[in-house]
Amino acid sequence: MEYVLKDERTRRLSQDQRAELLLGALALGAAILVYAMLLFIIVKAWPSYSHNKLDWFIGGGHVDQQLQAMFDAGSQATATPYTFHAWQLIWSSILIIGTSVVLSFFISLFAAVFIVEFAPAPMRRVLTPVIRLLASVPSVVYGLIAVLTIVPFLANHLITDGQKESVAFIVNLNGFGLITAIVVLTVMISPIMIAVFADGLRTVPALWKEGSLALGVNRWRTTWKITVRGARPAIVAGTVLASARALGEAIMLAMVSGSVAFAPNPADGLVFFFEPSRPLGPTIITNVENLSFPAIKATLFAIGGVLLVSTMILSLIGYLVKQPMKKYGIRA
Amino acid sequence: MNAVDTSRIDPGGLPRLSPEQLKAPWKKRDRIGLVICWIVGVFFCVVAAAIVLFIFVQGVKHLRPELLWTRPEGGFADGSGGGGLFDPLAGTLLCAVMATAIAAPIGVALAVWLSEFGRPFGLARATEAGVEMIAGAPSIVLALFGVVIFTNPRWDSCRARPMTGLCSADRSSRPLRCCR
Repeated sequence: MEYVLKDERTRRLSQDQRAELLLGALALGAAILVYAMLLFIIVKAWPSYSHNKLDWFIGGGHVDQQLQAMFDAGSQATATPYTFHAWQLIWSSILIIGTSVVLSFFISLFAAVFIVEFAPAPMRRVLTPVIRLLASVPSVVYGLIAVLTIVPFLANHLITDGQKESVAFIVNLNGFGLITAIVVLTVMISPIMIAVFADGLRTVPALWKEGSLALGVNRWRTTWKITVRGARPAIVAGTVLASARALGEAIMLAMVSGSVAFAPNPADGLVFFFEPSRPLGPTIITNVENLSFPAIKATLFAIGGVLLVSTMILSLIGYLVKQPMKKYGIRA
Repeated sequence: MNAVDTSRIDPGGLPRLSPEQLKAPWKKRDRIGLVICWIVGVFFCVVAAAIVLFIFVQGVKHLRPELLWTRPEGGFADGSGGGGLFDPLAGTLLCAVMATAIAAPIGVALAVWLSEFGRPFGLARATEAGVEMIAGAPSIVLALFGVVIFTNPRWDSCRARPMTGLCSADRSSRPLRCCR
């Protein structure tokens, strides 16, 4: 009898073991799929990278003309149309996304501190769901609202005719521009940052704050020196999350940024803020119709690869920054 | 800091300080910081209210109940047609429901495996890193990937004919239009 039982056990896996095998196979499948996707994108993008080498990242020529050349070349994959110098798009991305992330970092820090520490209870009850609402508004809605409100306001009231004429031979100043994109993107990513920051501020042990208050430090200083510092991992995590979201934003930026491959020039003075441009993400959207042309396909995948690698670097930075803080028992 | 009010010493012996006396001094910088906090807090309330009001005021005046079940006429893009929201609504719902139905079991299974088993250490870390990467990947990159995979002419023979019930004639290339 015992012999039979033992035999049974060796022949059949326990329920637990079967679950492990099944789930493990699923995980293996998911991992293979993800890495195959990464490989696929890089392989598809390779013609563009290998033709342009590092020139891909610097200026030279006009991006829209280069894309037009790829379009004109059609499906014949000769070497010439692969030429692509993305600096105008990269510069636009840096300007729009960098400025918005920096702006919304400070706004979000103050807002999160306000919500967690200083807001009166009724206001806190209003603000918490409001932030969640704003964080879940689809980005097209932000884009739509901006197109209907900020853009006409800028075009009709803030941009003077003189300013329009001063750059009329290069670009149109019609309200779609740098400042619109920055404002909308800031409003869009701030709620994400605030939500993560506020969660982090809430997890700082009350004892730390009470210790500081007991030493006669006022609430503002305590918040700034103890609570905010204790929540640093969450602040890093929120910033990384929001930057990744901003980097991947395409539809909304395509709607409000002006969608012209043009590198805004800070030397232009005030006009600089009204100048249209187009970051990397929206460029994919505006050209995705012509994906059947090999040169455009390689270029779009190259842009996608740059975006993907940028977000991977961002999350790596977030991971590395959080490491040294682990020894203090701080968690994000 | 201030003189303690002797009349308010309780029998326990500890001086009971008024809230004013308990407050540590606030410098001008601290007060400015608090003011910024208030401004930012109020600003977000205003932004949220403005967005909701704007959408309602602009949207509700055009919204009629029959829009929900009538089909769009002509194109959205050229503004020539008016009419219903049925197709985009159906598209949004179908996309969301089907994607969730596929993603939820896989997500739960992967999470269970990662937290409960995760036995070949390398595979667990690789899966985690992959999941992290996809979670952070810009959606436009995933979209690009999907477009290339699913419009591959190789699938032409096995692609289903358009469903006559849901699809209108004007969109020959895309099966369904989503609201977003």
